[in-house]
Amino acid sequence: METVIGINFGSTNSSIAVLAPNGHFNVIANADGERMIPSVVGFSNDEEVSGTQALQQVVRNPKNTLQGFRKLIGKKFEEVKASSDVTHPDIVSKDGIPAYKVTFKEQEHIFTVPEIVTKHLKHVHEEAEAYLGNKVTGAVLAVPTYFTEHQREVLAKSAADAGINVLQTIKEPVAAALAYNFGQNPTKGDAQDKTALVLDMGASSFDVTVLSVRSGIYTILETAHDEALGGEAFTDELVQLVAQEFKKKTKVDVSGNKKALLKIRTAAEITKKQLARSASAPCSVESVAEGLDYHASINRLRFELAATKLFAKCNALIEHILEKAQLTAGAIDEILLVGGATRMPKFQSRIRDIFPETPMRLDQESDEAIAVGCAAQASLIAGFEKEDIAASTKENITVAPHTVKPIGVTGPNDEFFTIIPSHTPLPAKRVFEFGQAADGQTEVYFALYEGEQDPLPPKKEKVEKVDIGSDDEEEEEEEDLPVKPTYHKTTLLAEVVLKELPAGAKAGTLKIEATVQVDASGKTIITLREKKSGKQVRAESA
Amino acid sequence: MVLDFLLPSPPKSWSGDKFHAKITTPTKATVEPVGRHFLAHARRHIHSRTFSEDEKVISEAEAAAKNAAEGAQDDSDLGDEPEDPAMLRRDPKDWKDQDQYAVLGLSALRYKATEDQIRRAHRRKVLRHHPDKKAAHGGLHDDGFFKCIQKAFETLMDPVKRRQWDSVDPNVSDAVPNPKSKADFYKSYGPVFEREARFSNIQPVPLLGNAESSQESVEAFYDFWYKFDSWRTFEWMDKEDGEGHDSRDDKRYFEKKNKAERAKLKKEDNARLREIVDQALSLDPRIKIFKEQANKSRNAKRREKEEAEKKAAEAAAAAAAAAEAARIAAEETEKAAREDNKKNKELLKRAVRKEKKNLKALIKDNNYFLPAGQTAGPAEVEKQLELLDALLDGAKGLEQLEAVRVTLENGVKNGDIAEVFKAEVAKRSA
Repeated sequence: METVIGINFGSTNSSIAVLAPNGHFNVIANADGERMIPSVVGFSNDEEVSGTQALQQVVRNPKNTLQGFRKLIGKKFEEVKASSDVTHPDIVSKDGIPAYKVTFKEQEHIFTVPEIVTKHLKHVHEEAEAYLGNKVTGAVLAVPTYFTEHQREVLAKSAADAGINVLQTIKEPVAAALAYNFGQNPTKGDAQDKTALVLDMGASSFDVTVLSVRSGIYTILETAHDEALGGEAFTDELVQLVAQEFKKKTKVDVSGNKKALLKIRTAAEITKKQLARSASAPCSVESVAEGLDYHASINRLRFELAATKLFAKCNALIEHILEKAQLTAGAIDEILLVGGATRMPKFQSRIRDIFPETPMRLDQESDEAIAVGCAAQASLIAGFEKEDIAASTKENITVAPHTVKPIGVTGPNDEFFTIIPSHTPLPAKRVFEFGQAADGQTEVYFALYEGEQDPLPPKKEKVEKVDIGSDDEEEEEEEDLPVKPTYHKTTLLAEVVLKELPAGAKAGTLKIEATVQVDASGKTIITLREKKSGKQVRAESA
Repeated sequence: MVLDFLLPSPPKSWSGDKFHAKITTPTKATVEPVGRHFLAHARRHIHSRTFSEDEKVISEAEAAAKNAAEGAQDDSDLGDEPEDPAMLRRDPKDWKDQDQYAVLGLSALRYKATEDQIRRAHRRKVLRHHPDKKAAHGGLHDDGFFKCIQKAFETLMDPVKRRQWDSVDPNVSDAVPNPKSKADFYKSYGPVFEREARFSNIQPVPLLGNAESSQESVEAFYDFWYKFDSWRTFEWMDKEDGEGHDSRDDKRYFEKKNKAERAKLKKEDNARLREIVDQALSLDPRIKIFKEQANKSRNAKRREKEEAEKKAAEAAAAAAAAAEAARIAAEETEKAAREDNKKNKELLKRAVRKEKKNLKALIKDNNYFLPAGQTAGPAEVEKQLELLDALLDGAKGLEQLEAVRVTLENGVKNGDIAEVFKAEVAKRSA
């Protein structure tokens, strides 16, 4: 029996998911009951701890508590900015690879980053096996889009050292799309060709991806990420807020007191999460500095005001990526939210500024989406031989020609109906059904065009308003919705006529099925078929 | 997908199907190797199949997998029996009299048919005889036989009703084999017991077996069949339906009648089964063999026993004689020994007396052992004789007397008799 899991190895938290027999995906909680397992490895006096337990010792033993090691995977020592101080472990070079210097069992030890990754993944793997009660035979891991091939390899090797049989490593936004079942089950109401914006705000970075799905196949059109944005950046703002307030109340400045800041952070993290749900949340830190406590209730508005700049940065990044991908906001069919920080109400409402109407997918627990997507992929390929998986992910298969411009038909008023959109991997095949225009019509004319996107409307200069009070006005101003891309300039590709249709049918009652196929070289085949009589005509480009 | 778009008639400019331009040269981009649609893409690429080819291959594979999964759905075990035209014309009102198995085409299996087989047989018949289907083929809207099928299915799927029907199934023989027939015992009785076994509440039922069956199994077989616990019921034969009587008295009357009838039939059936078992037991060649064997072994045992008894008696007699002889011999030896002893003692006494006499003579001859020169006055004599008596009392047994005598004689010879006598008296009487 194959038992396969999906592992989301995040830079702050990791999670594991598995396909349950009922067809749902379960996210596995660790022994401490946490579904989000902190990506932390720690060394106490005589014990090596991982996950929740390791995180719990961070205030007490920061020098021997290692966090954020995912960022260092596959990097050289010179590339790493070592922030060595009292609250961070020491990073040294070992054969050019960054390594941590820790005190363990009263001795100095040096562990390289891959070794730490192995320790962490081993812990995660063990948690999964403990939960499932049997051996895990394979796993799919998610990696950020910006991971290089080398980084992927280092991660895969570390995972293999941890005893994990890595079936495949997939990209995080793609895993999330799979978890949201984005474009996987096209129905009449749900088109098979769509474009999504995946917003992944984890604890320590903000990844934006434009992802197209064409007949269920994903292609990443554009991606951008900002490591300065992320849940922790927002927590930092809250920490500043609390520190200022503490100073006002007690006249004690804690800005240089790293230990005090660390204490505030732990409390602020909880407060931030509560603020995502309620308008105000308490924040209490005991003995911040000089034996003084801090107890206060923080208003959501105040927090949002403090973080305005961060929200603006998020939106700027989204707008930047749209511009890079040459897409209007209207070309995005869905927004997929990933990562715990996307739960912030202000974050969502700010995105609404750009996409007022676009459906925002929240049906998947956002910080578990990646693990669930990995588990979905793992269960899909569980039965395959490892060589076959490796062979099918090779470039000769994954690199495919994609259409540049949409192919479709034009209506009487020059409106363009897309049949095969741009960015569609070839070969592609689409089947559409049409009616006939007039009563008693016995011949139908099918003309296939290639559309050229009209130039994007000039960008409106928007002034970022810091004043929260004017929110309502802002919304009123933005009445004009972003338009779907239009294609007025077209090139005629082909004309086909289906003759001898059954006579006497009323307009629109005949069902004519048009199949348009484009193969890898760009060769086009058009087939028209009247469904009831089976009459058909086929035309093929040279 | 349906596009809200209507296709017009060809415009005047149209002069035949034609390709005017190629699509803009595609650009290379990487698709994400994720999801089942990508798997399909990879599969098409690896096997260089077109979309329709791939769909065909996949649907065929799926159909094959489905068939494999439903491999048990093969209906060949049900057989394919022709439908009796008379049966097809049956009136569904008389469903109680119909052959429930034949209606479903299970005449060959009958009580052996499993629930699954009944279900499948029913499905097969429904597909063929559903009134809608018949109407669609232009047939009359005649659902008579379909009703029969439904009734038969209802009966056979209800465990209670099925037992009732199986109990009275006229197509399974109830016959008792003819005991005078010369046919092979196992061939004629084996199937009978197999047939009757279906009524047993206790399963599995021990079957007749063959000539090689062990005695235990044969005995267990008859033991079981004499205690046979049958579920056979005769409700199906109820002449009057207990239901549908307005009057309670009527109802009770019919119920009573039915009950009595059932009890009677049951009794008859038990007697019938008993008869079969009795016959089998009386005809069973194995039982005869076992009896003979038992007889033989009993006789052999008895003979053995008698012989052993005889031998034992002989041995006992011999032993008694030997013991008697030994006893007599022992007695005789004892007697002889006793007499010897007596004689010896006499001799010894005589010798002692003689010795004492010798000693007394010696003392009288030698001046009563007084030192030389001393005359023996009556006082001295008496004193010396007293001393001698004490000496004789002190010397026990013949040897000591002899030793005393020798010492004293030596003393006489050497002339120091007085000293020797004194010393001897002191030594012996001490």
